[in-house]
Amino acid sequence: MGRTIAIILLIAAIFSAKPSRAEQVVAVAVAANFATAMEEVAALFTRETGIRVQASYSSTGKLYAQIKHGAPYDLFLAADEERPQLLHEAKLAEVPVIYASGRTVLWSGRPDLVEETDWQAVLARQDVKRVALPTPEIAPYGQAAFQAMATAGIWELVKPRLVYAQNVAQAFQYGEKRAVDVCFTALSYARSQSGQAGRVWEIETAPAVVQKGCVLTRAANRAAARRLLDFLGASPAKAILATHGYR
Amino acid sequence: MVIGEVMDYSPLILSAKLALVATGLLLVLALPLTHGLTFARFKGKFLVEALVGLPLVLPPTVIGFYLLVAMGPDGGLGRLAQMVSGRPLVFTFAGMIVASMIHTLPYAMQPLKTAFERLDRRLLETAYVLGLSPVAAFFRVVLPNTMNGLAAAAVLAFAHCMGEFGVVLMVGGSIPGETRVASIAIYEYVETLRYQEAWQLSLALVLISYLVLLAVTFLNRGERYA
Repeated sequence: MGRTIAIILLIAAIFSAKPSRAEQVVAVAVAANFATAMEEVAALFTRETGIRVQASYSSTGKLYAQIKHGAPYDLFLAADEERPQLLHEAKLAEVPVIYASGRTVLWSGRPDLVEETDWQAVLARQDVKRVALPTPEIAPYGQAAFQAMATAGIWELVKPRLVYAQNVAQAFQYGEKRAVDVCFTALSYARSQSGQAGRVWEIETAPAVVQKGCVLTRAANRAAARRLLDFLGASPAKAILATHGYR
Repeated sequence: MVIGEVMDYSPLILSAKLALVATGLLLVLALPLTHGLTFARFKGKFLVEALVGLPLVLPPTVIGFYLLVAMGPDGGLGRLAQMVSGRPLVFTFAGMIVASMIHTLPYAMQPLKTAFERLDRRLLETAYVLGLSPVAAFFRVVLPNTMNGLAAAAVLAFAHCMGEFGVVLMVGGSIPGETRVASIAIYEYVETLRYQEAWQLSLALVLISYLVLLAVTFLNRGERYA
């Protein structure tokens, strides 16, 4: 009997455990490519405002579907312009604003490719057999890479060697684990610690990936969400974004 | 590579092919393996048992990640495949079969193990006394008496391969006609907000799976040994 009561008390204690003091929290749905930059920005934001940032990372498409079906986020940082706009049209979000502009690059961990100076020269090599591309229909960075290849007229040449990744993170992972020879990914991954171990080629002709964010109208804490979105546009955050390869 | 305007059912065919081939090979592999683990006595048996059960515990994407490394050009399995066929295993249909088999092995072994354990040992002893070799005893005594278990193993393995997502997402590379199976195609439809197509493909996947399971259950009806 005594033991039963003890167990019940223990369970009650676990479920009633709460943060010791009431603190402000802003829940943010973040596109996966922005994860590392977000961690740094969030730390700075919390230090300056005392508002805690609770970030969930996933693909833009998945986060969009979750938000449409009532996921309790305050702010949505997408990897494209389309999804925030759709939420705004559905009256689920305020007017979207640009918070970052990313670049698509070609990356490889193969030491023998270091000498190549141009991304097209890399793809022209016979011994580059596997190329990872984030699926263009899903991933904005894959779309940008596709457009650059189409413009350069090498799409048909590269297509038979393509392996499709779900997002820039997976494309980079394929490259980093040497499952592919080269990968198209976001500059933010090439700038990461493991990315610096390889070689990166800029693709000037690839359109910039404009990433928009929006405060959600169902937000529990709209003021804090707006504050974070503004914070992303201010110079301290801008500097962090620049080190991660965003403009 | 653009997902066509007309509904594309090739991922479904690919899924069915993958599930059928993997299930067939799995049964060939699982039968002797389970038989050995059930009837043979050797040191460290429990270690092997725990090892083959691991895929039940590990999240599919984690298994997929390790397989990606193992089947890549620098991995053991990848190098072996490179020597035999000249291609690394990763991002090929063959690679997906290997991955599905590893992930599904415990699902195929569990029903077989139960069936083997339920087998009346006296039947086996009688067979040996009458002079049957272990191999002959397996085919003429063990197998006919464990058909239920075999059917259950096939059903579970097939269903598991058909719906598998995390592992094939990792090692497949979503190449149309080669590694883009139904589960991945459905996922990509959802990601691109094409819910109608996602729904249609899901429905077809469920229908096919249900029909196969129905067929096996039906065929298995007459095989009950009390």
